[in-house]
Amino acid sequence: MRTLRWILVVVLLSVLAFGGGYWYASRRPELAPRPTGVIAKPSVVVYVPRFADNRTEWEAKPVPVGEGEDPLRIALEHLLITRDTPFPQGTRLLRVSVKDGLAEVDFSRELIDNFPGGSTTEAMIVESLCKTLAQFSDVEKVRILVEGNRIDTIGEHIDLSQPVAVRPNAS
Amino acid sequence: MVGWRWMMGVMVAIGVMAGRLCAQSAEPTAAMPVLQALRWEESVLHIVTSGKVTFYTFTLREPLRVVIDISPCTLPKEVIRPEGDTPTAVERLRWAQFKEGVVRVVLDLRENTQYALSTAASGSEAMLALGGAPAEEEKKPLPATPATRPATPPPPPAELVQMEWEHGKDSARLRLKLSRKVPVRLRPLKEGYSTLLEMPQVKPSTDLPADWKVNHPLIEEVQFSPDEKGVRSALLIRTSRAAALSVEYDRQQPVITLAVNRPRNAHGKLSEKHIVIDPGHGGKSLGAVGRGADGVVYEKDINLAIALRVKALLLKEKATVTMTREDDSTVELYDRPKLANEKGADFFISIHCDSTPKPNSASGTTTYYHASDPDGRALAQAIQKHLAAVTGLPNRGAQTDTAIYQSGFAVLRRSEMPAVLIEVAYINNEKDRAKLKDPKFQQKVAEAIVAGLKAYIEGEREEQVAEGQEVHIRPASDKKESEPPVQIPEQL
Repeated sequence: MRTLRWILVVVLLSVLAFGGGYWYASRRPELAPRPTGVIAKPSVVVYVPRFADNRTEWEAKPVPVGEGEDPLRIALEHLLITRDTPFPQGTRLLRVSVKDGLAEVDFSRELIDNFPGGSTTEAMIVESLCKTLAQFSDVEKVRILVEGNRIDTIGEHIDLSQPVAVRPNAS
Repeated sequence: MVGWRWMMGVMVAIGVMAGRLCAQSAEPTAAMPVLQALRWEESVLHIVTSGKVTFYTFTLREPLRVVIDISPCTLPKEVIRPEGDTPTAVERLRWAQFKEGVVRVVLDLRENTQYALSTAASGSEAMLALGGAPAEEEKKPLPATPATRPATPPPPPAELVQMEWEHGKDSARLRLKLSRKVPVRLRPLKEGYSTLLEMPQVKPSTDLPADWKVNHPLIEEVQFSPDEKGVRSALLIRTSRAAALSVEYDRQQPVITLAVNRPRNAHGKLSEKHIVIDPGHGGKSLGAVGRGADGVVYEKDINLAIALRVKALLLKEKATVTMTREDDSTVELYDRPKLANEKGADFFISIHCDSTPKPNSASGTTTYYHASDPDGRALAQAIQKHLAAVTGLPNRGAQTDTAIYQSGFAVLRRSEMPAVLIEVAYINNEKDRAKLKDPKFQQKVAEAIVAGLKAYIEGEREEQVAEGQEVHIRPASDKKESEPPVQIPEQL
């Protein structure tokens, strides 16, 4: 009986040791700490509004672009999901194309369906899109599409029936 | 007993070793490419892997470094020894298993250096070429790092050599003669009927007289703020009533004329006018939604409540009123200005409440006009002046709807008469919302809108400047102490 108890203890210890050894070997320590810092030379930048003292300020957020990736698409996709984006929740980029200086950007229905209201919000959506597109020298104007169709407005304030110039007024 | 202890020790050791062996054999290293070599050839770093991988590069700062993430990839069992001589621009070359399936190669740079990454067709080798200081174009700063902006010499400022007034019955024109053509800009200020003519590339000539006599009932004050450096010269024009200011550029000569006119439809009485009132949104279009402990409130309902009060007040003034909606019905956006155009209305006033993406981030009252329309700007200034006096909220001023983008608000862009869009307050701001819901506040806002419209048409009661009274253009520093402080903003 006593022998059996010892055998059980040894087996139990062996199992525990096996598990411990497996865990030790399979854990993968972070060999390099995750680097922190400001990306100094990003390929693209997205612009999002910030509010301070009842005024709107614009923050430029750098986004790295990998080999073979389309910088325009990367910028727009990040603009939709980045923190502080003015775009309505769930808005997705369906398609983007540039021809003769005109960028056609096709968004999902959420752009209109989830628009929370306010001319300031609508202006911020258009402005963040224009500012972000203005870094691409081949883009002069933008036409916003929803599910492939032209729209007159997002939230019943800004007239979007015609393409919008992406750079500020000269006057 | 000793034998048992030995046996226990041996079993535990075997257990640990067996566990480690099992774990290592279970690692998915077989299929994953391995980093094989790092080789410098002059200033090109060759990164070689055993299979097809993706190279992803970006730059980090403080300290400055180029990072190449390789995935899917693992480090080999043997230590990698970089081949070739490390270029002087690189302080150190490091590599590590950054996380499972990702090997990170880092180049610590001594100085800001251009680089380009190219990948071999096989997908198992990348070449990172380092070369010289960044080109001028590369140095172009991002807005986030304005400190590194390269200094581009600005063009020399134009000299303002002559200023003279021309008087008409309902207009005054200030002719500005410059040494060369430069753009200027009109910007309404928040204080009453004050407008700034911004001349960012103009400096006064040395023989420019310091004082000009102005004698016109429309002009109350002109204040010249010259900047000898030619960076932010400005002319402040305060009119005695809502006035339409516009800038005309001479095609041939470097001459700019600032025209100050009595605005469109600003003759006669309010009772003779036809006004279209447009309560924003309605029906299916809720507009912005205010949510808080005080419940839910829809913008469309507040807009209608204020608009109906405006209608009642205008009818009391014997004016003709057309509403784009009088109940909670859906009205198409473009049908609103279309109705005003078809009716041949004198004015179009759209009433809204504003909202921002973040609750409580903005507060106050704004009146928008379209683009640089002088009549719309004058109407917006008149209404905003009266609104700001009663709302008890921040005065956000009369603003153009095309400050950044050139489109503007649909209802203003398509209206053929002087038109404004009023954002009474922010419905997603707790303090603003409490006011918007208050019937007394709604009435005060409605009264202010009508008072502003009346002032636009008939003039302000207290500001009539007697015919023959002389107003002088003075430098901004030559102010009388008794005058109200009109500040020329620092930021142009």
